[in-house]
Amino acid sequence: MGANLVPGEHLPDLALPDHAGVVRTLSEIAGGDPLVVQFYRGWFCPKERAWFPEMLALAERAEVAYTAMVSVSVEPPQVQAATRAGLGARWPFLSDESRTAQAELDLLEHTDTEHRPYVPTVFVLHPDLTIHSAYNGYWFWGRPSIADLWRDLREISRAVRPDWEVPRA
Amino acid sequence: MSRAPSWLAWLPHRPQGAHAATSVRSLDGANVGWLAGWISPDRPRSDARRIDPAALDSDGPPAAVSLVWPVRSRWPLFDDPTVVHAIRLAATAPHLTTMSTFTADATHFAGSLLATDASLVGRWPGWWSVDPFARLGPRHCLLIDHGLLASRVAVLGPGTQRRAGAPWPATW
Repeated sequence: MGANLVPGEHLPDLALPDHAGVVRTLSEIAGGDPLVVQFYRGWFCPKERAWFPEMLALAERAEVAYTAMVSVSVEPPQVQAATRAGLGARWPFLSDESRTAQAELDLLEHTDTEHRPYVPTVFVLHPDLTIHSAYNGYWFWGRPSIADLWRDLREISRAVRPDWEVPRA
Repeated sequence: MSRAPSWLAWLPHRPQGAHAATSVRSLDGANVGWLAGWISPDRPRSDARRIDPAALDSDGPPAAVSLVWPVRSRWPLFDDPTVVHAIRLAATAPHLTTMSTFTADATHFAGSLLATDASLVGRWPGWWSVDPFARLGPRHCLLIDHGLLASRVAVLGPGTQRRAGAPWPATW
């Protein structure tokens, strides 16, 4: 992982085609809300298939909590569209088929010379893409639980929502 | 991501002063009026409904439009489970070029618009069946000329939660 991908730094505003081939930026997806960015190896990986249910559970909360999510891999959009549909996911997927963002972020998993996937990594970002927390999921237990993400998103929301404390009449 | 509120009205004639407007045909080719859009902090007409600003483009291409346009007395609450479920389905609907729900106040669902490439529906009439809002009010299958709708759908997921008063998926 790039040395600058640590809390307090900014994740680059990547521009990549989504699962439908429409180029999106991270800031567009965030839309002014906190953003959870998941870099994943690919559907081939059993660990990803074991962890996607956490993302699905998070999505159920995120979509009523003014929070955005995005998943990024080196798979082509068609494969991502099938993955997304198979999961029943409603958040956008971004394709880094050209591996430009993977190189920019230094997130190539060197030990898998067959797929050359992303190192499984999750970032929880402020609306301006400032990194609040980063999780290295190379080992499965390094990935965040939904409780970890809930805590992070509570902290971010408390910081960015001016009416976090209930407004008085 | 904040933009000025935008508005849409379905009218028998082209209105004066609209930011964008286009003629509307039914699938059998009959002229069924005009759709017009405004960008304005204030409602330009009493019958205009608020639309996601990202859905409007005065340079936009022709489109096939699935328009759900219920009368005011039949507007469900936005938090009604049928509306919430339809929004979740819309986040996975295929081949959208534009999408917006409509609002006219802070609490009610005032209709919706899904659009796709006009040439698609000729090859695949089944596209009309993908509109999850069609069960929430009278749905009109329309063809519009250029000059009203954007050709790049906004990000639809996972934020199905709507900002009070704003149409989904618009941000503030």
